[in-house]
Parts: sequence; structure tokens; C-alpha cells
Amino acid sequence: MDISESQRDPLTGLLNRLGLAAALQEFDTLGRRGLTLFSVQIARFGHINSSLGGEIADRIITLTARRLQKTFPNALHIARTHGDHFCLLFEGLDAVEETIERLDDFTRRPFAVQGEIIVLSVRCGVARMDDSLGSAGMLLHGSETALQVAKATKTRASFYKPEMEEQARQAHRFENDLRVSIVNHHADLHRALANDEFQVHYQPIIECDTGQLYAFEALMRWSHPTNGPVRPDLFIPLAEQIQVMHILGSWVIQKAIADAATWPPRADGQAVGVSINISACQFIEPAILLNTVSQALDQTKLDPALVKLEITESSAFVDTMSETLLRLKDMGCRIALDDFGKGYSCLTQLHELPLDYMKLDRSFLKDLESEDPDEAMRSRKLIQAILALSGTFDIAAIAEGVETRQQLDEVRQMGAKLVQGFLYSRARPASEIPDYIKNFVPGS
Amino acid sequence: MGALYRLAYLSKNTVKGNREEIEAEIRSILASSHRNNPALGITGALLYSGGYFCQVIEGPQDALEDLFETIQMDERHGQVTVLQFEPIEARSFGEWAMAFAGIEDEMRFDGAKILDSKDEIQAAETGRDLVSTLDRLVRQHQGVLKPS
Repeated sequence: MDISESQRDPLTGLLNRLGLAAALQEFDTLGRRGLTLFSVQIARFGHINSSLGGEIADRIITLTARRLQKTFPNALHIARTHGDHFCLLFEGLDAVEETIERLDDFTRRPFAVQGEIIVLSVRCGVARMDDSLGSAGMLLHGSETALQVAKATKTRASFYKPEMEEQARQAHRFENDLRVSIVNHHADLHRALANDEFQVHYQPIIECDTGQLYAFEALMRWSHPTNGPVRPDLFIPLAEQIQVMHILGSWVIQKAIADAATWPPRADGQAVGVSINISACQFIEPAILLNTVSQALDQTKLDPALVKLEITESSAFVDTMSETLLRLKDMGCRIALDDFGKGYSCLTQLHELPLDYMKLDRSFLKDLESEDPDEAMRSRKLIQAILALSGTFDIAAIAEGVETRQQLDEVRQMGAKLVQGFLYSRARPASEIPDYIKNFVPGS
Repeated sequence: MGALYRLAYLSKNTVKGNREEIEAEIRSILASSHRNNPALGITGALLYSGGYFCQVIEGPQDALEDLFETIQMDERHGQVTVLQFEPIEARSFGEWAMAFAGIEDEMRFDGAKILDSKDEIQAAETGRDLVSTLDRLVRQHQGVLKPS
């Protein structure tokens, strides 16, 4: 095939995307079968580019291109289709797994570039010509679809399957629907209209000693316009990923503080607090977070001591987070560390962050009732250790996910101050809360 | 040319063979080093220890980086781990295109552990250890193994 300048990548001399597409088309014209295409992406290459500079990044791309050429002399074509994306085209390739192994081996070997040692890793998507991909022209789309799946599932390699198309379409539609809902919702907020797609539900938090109602945790709900309710663990990470979480986060703060200001006091006259989850994303622009909280407090005149802001462990923002939390505490709010013990708990956060509460991750309680006595014992010891730690730092511990009387008794004995879970109540719509407070009978 | 750098690395020998075959392989590596390194300003030392190549190379940064890339692409080397890559004031193996420090049956460094772990401090310590060990071994072998 004749290759024009416009079909070559100037940096590496490899085919570019246009060149590869032309080559694939030519194979179709010639009626060639049995082709396999690998789409390969260097993981976190943007990070190398921003931290070490464009010159080193370009050198790594050039060296990677050379490594691929040397490692795969059997490839019909090697192309650089996009910044950190390469493609390898093979004919009659049987040893696909071996090829992935080799690709992994040679791209993982360290690069020595301008005095730095750099180690890369790659992910790849593989597409073979078969019944579902009948032409060479379809391979590029197929391998890139498979690459997206490999990235999403954090696997080294993924093989194209026709159902990935529908999954990708669905994921795209879901993401788009969330965007549309948030934009509509945001617009409605400005027009002060009600919008039912997003709602805040409230789950009670109970005092261990007295069995009294202490506060409610505000939990966001999204009702998809056609599919119905979507679980928060599905849409919140997506909202964070597509960078719209701050809009939702600000709305929840306003809504929860406004709702709490209308709640009646308990029978003994004590006011009931509200606990609001703050996403790590909201700390990227602390001014928005601080303004939202202070405006909501001003407008409602709610006692700031009744407002508890829940953060999750996130080492990435510790510096700005700490400063912002201190400002929130200055306003009179309380701070809780959510999901403590899940993932990589960092003990230094317990004294570096100005915490009033910590929430014991629900997984510990689940393990407490494990049929495996070792696991149950391990969980009991961990809970004891964490609760002892909370006592040392004078941070009140809240046990989440309490579903049975036995769990309640155990965590209470071990020193938890507050509990929440299905044993008391699921999260309820805002409209039910005033009556729930009025009718609440303290238990022990 | 670039500043003078030293690079120390470990790699697993991927070629299976008996001692004679391994010796032949090492002779071939040394021969190509003696052929190519002087023109590139590269000096260094090589020890074969329990299935691992333990090598120190030193020279101008650009030439060193190019040579390292060539080694990386050599099928005989697997699981390459860099223990040290830093600018140096003076060479340790200045007289040698590639000094040979011997073949040992048992790996003297904890290769598998270093290759598995991502502990940079441990790698740096082993790097210093490797340079000084090679230096000592090369001196012991001087006159015996010095290439003609």
C-alpha cells in the first residue's frame, strides 16, 4: 500500500489512525480474513506528560514504538492511532494470550530517559475477524470498544464481544441521562420549582445510651425518568467522574439544612440534627462548599451545631480538606469521618483532621455475624480496637448498618455512642420525618 | 554526550541451559560489550549469580540510556529491575569495557524479593551493594579474567 505523509505519525514514523484505517480498508478490498487487531493504551500517560514534561513523554512514545516494532516483527502493521494509543495488526494469529503476555513484558520493562527511570503499564483491547466482526474495517472500533472495557474493569486485556456494544450504549445513555437530569434539576432550582428526580431521604441515628433519636443522615436518591430509582453507589461515583457532583452536593446541603430547620424537636425539647455527606470533589473548590453551608445556615437560622458534615477518607485532599474543615468548624458545624476502616484507613487522619465523629464501616458489623467463627472474632477485635481508638481521640463513634438486636448490644457494649441501621429504620422521604420525630418512642 | 551516569540493574536470565551453555552466552555478551562499548564511552562489570545478570554500566548519559534500551530489548533478559541510576563524578570500572566478575551458582542478592517488591530503598541499597561487590570481585579477578 502507498502511504502518504498524512497517514504517518511524524513522531514515530508509524501509521497514524488515518493510515491504519486505509490499511484495514485495503485488506477488505483484497478479501483478507483472519485478522486480529490489538488496541493498546499506556496507562496514566497523561501523568507522565504533566509531571516530567512533553520532551520525556515524546521520547517514551518513540521508544515504545521501537519496542513494539522489535517485539512484534510478525505484525502486519503497527500504528500510533492517538497520543498514548497504539494498534497492532496481525494475520493468522493463534497465540493471542502469548502475544498479550509479550506485550505486557516488553512494555513493562523500565525506560531510562534523561536521567529518569520510567516504568509503564498498558491495557489492551483485542478484536478478531469473525461472525460478529465480518470486515477488517470493523476491527478498529471493536478493539477500541474492548479496550474501554479493559479500562473500566481494570483488567490487562479484554476481548471484543458483540454485547459490549449494547453495554457501552447503555453506559453512555445512563451517563447522559444523569447529566440531563442534573442540568434540568439545576435549572429548576434557579426557577425555584419542585423537581422530583432528585430527592433527599433521611435515616435516623440513635443514641446508644438513651435510645433517643439523635439526628438523621441525609441520603440522596435519583429516580431515573424511565428506569426508576438508581442506587446512590451507582450514580454518585458517576456524577463525580463526569464532574457534576459539586452541583448535586451543594443542592443536598441546601435541601438538608432547610428540611432540618423545619423539623419539630423531640418530646424532651431537644432539637434533632442532620448529617450531610460531602464528596471529596467538593473540596476541590472549598469556597463553593463554605458559601453553600454558610448561606444555608443564614437563611434557615438552623443551629450550626446540629449540622454534621460527613467526609470520606481521601488522602489526596488532606491538606485543603483540613483547612476547609476547620473553617466549617469555625461556623459551628460538626465533622464526621465516614466509612472508617474501609480500604486504606489512615490513622494520622484521626488527629490531623478536626473530627467530632467517626463512622465505623458497615462491613465490620456484617462480619460480626459471620458463620466463620475466626472471621467473627477478627471483626469483633477490630471493632473493639477502632472504638478504643475513637475513645482515645475523643471522637464519638457511630456504628452503621445495625440490623439486629444482637449487633446493637455488641457495639453498645464495645463503646459505640451512636447507631444507625435497618433495626431502627430505612431512609425515609423528607415528608415523613416530622411525624417520625413526633411519634418516636425512645427504646433502649 | 551528556553527564557521566551509572546504572546498576538485575535481570533474570531467560535462556535455559547447562553451565557450559551459560558460559558461552556470557562470553557472547562480553564479546559484544568489548566490541561496542569503547566507541560509546561505556565501561562496566557483569556478574552472573544464580540465574541473574547483575550488571553495572557507566558512561555518558545518552549512550548509557541507548545501551540500556538495547539490553531491555534483548530476549535473554527478563524482569529487569533498575537498582541505581544516578550521575557520578568518576567511574568505578574505568579500565573495563565490561569487566567480568564471575559465575556463581547461588544468587548473592535476594533477586526474587527485589524483583517482586517495589521498595525503592531496598533497591537503592542493593544497588550500592552490587556496585561494591562487583568492584571487589573484579579486583580479585584482575589479571585472571582481564580481557586481552
